Amino acid sequence: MRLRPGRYADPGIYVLGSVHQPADTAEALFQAYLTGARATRFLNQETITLETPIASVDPALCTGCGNCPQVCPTLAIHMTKRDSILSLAKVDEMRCIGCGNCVVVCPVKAIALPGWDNIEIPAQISAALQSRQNGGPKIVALACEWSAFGAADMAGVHHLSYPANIRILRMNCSARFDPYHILWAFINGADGVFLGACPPGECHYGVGNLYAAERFEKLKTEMSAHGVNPRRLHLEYLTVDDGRKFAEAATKFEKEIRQLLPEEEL
Amino acid sequence: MKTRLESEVWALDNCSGCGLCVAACSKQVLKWDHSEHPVLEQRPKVVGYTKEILDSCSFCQKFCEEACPRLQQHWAPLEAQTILAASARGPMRSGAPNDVIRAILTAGRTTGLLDGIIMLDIEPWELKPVARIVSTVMEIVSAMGPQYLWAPVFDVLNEAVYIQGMKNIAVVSTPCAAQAIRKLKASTNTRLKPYQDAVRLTMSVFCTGIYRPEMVEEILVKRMNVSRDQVKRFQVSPDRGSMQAILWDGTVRNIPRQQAESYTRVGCGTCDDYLGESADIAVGTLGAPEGNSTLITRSRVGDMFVRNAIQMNLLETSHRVDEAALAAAAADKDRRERAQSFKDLQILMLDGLGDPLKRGEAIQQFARLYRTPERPGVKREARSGCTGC
Repeated sequence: MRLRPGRYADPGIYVLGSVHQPADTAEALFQAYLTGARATRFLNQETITLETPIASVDPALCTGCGNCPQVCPTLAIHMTKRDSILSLAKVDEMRCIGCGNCVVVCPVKAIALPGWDNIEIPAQISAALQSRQNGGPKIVALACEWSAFGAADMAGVHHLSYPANIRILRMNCSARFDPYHILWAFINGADGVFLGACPPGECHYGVGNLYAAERFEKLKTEMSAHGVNPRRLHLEYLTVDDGRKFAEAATKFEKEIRQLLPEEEL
Repeated sequence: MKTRLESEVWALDNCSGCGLCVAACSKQVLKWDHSEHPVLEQRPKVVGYTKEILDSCSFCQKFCEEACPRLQQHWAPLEAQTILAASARGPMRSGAPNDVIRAILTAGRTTGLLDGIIMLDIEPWELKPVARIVSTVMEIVSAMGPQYLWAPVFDVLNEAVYIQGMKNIAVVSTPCAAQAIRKLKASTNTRLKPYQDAVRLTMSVFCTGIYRPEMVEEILVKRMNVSRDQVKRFQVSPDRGSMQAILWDGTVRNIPRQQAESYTRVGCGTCDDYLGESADIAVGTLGAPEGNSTLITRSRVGDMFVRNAIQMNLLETSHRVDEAALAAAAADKDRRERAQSFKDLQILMLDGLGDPLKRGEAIQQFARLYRTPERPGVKREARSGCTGC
């Protein structure tokens, strides 16, 4: 399963050339060189450096509430004793796979995940909402890079069209879809937020998509209780080669948002 | 009206699990359903030939909102009247917090100040936490008291007030239950008066968070390979450093507090009350000398009960309490206020979607909260690992 050139969902398995899409010899050779280089680099090293971002806990902010160990898919977080009535959460770096689930559940936002940080994602969202190209509704899509982001890529490869006013942001996992960031998108003028996650049972990190679905439902409840139309938020399950489904879902969602908006806003 | 609880407490993972909303609900439509918060029971209504879902909350006086301690959470702490180091005398000669609590309750029951006690307890057959009504001195002495395993303590409130007709009830639980009673007593709703009149005293243990009962199954049974029938008693160690399972063969298995903390209820993450700041009497080990517990009274009623126990020679007190340690601990847990501000921010952002005035406020608050303040003496580690995004 191709995600980006040279990156695949299953570690150690590489697919080249025409196997995943029609490619000429030059393209296939280029991919073979790239894969070969990656494999050689991996086999030659004495120590293996992890590529995944690792979560880190800020001890000054951590209040030892014990929320993060409960959601960690690899049991990489445990509580440790410190000189205080409250304990401190510690991340085992070798076990952390960087899904970002703990970052979302931390009630004091004391956990940082490089690359998908609480500062970086809102900044990306507000940047994506700065300009409006064609006067349509503004839609932010948060896409899991293991599925929906690949699907959007695939839609491009197959020359399928989907509305241009959907801004796609790459996230590491649907578990990182933070309700605060979704609300931040809405409050910065997004008319709709589209979430793309792996289908249940196919999450790269285990069950991140189930957590995402649960948070999605809760956020919808809150939105309808506060008089915000919950249809402005949409969750779609996609696999990495679902280019067509992505294009269709995105087009349908954009149409729906267009109907929700009053005429003069368009 | 459950919708406010649903959207502002349950959806935000903010439920304290005290169960007062379930007890106070006039329609009895809230129930516990294997979840960390109550859920609304769907009841059908038959109109002619059609059956539809009954919206039971549309004609309700919102008793659950009047009772929920987490809906308006910013409680100013009640001022401490006396701070004592205490140990129990008589049959329960010990300095452990639960024994001090039992001594005070025994004294209160004997003098007739109380006719019933609602408390958290451990059910020995299943090692499950339960809420119990305790009414005789014998029962008080044999009860375990709160052991930091969660059960909705107010599940038995209706039975105590309406079925057993108790007039003078003490509630022994965690600080959140004391907050719930404080909120209940502040309510002007006359339908809640039977509860307001019946609950006379709230006692609370010092608390950093309460654990889900699955903890016993996960750690003791699965990891330590101790089956439930081997366990005679399950209790918190006197220094509160670990959970202890005392087996029938006399051996003790310790579960360190840090390990148990991985099973803390999610709702405890926003609670900043360590010293039972709304309870009439708060008891804990912190700050007391060896073999004693710290005893804080916060009201006239609490004072009266403690004096009563001292007069009956069931309690021995001194003033050797490390108040600086208490203040430091309270300040430490106050750091969870930050969690509460994040929950408030979420509500503010939702409101801001409809209200332009609140929108600007929400954006400012978002930026302010996420900018982590640099503190002197704490060095943040340099972030490494460019992901090549």
